[in-house]
Amino acid sequence: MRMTLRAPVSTAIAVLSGVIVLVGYFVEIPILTSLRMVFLRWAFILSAVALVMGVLNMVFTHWRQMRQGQGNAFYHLAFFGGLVVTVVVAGWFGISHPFSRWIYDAVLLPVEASLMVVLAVTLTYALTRLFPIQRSGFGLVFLAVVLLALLSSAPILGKQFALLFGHDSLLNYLSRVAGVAGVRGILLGVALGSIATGLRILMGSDRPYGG
Amino acid sequence: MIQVFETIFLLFFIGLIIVFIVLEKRGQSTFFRDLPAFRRLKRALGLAVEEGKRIHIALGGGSLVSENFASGLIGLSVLERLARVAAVGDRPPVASSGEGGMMLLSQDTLKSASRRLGLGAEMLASQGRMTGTTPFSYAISVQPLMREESVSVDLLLGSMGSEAGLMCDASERQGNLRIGGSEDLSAQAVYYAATTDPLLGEELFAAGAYLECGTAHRASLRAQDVMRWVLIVVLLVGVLAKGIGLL
Repeated sequence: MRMTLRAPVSTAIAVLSGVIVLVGYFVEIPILTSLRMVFLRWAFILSAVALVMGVLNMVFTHWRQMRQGQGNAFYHLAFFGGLVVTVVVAGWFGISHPFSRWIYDAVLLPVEASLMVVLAVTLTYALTRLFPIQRSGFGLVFLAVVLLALLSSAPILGKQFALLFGHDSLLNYLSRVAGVAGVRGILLGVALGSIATGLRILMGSDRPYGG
Repeated sequence: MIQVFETIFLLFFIGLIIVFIVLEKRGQSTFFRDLPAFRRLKRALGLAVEEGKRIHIALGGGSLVSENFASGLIGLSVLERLARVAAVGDRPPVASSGEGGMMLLSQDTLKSASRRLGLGAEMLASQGRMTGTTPFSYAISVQPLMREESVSVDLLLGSMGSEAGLMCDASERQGNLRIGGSEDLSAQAVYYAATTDPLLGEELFAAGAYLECGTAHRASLRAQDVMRWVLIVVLLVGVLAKGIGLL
């Protein structure tokens, strides 16, 4: 009984709010515009609530795994330690206090920057393994463009070659013509797919909210 | 004031989807070109169930209120479809996300799939997890899940950037099948180099139709194809008009 009642109600709420927001975007009627703004404000608040739910989910998952002896206990303890310190410091002093900023500047930023370096190494390694995975002419084109872009990112032994640098270079021509055309084509496909996905939700045929 | 062109475009798109839904329900189906990614995924799904392995779907960190949420919604459709198939095995699929709203939706999707199968709703719902709140923390903290939960297929179907390369690397170390699709161009470049089966451009949005997620998915894919041709014609007419000085 719970399921049969819940499904149409959640579907009706999703479709109705989606239609109001969409129509408010296309047609300028004051009441629709203000309703759209109200719904969008609610969406931002719900998004923040969802973030809290997500963090709680991480706490429960780490706690369960630690109790069951799954994974490396050090990682679980590091997670709990980091969470408690951050919440206590930011909660007690406020997020703009130097202590809170220190956590961000001295811990979070360096860790994320180091991951950028790991990513660069990982992608270089992936490039060396490109041909076993993508055995086609497009793989060759991909590799050639990557190498050209890398070569043009800095002068080679202090010299700038006309082929790689400047407005009339081959690379600039490839970027402006072939690159932009390809990107636009891909983005048009992505845009059509995104619109179709949104329309399926509005029509109630896709119900990711469990309706 | 009404935005005329946008409204006509949208109404035409909706009309096409409805027409194709009706045609599909009448049995007038169409043939889609072969996409190896989905062929391999179907085979890997059967193997995973037989071998007691798990399928991992990475839904990314697209926010509910951002424009890059659509790829995550595709990931949710695929999750629902795969959960219906794989839940009968020893290990149900697991979904990771880097955003709270996406995590809640993945849990809801898994709950509704388990209700349809007559299983306990909470059993599957616990497999929807958030693993990190920033792109890099998400990409790193999903790796223990890939290593320790007997995963054999990693589906990266959500909003991700170049940090997806870290996940692809972890997946490769496990010898898993890797299929990746995103609306982000840098992520698509990474997937091309680092996944066994990249989904480029609109191929990601065809996932529902190829995995038989429902009539609406097939209908909307057919509508997308028609709209693509409409756009091509409009672009060519625009170029011609510009060339002869009309624009």
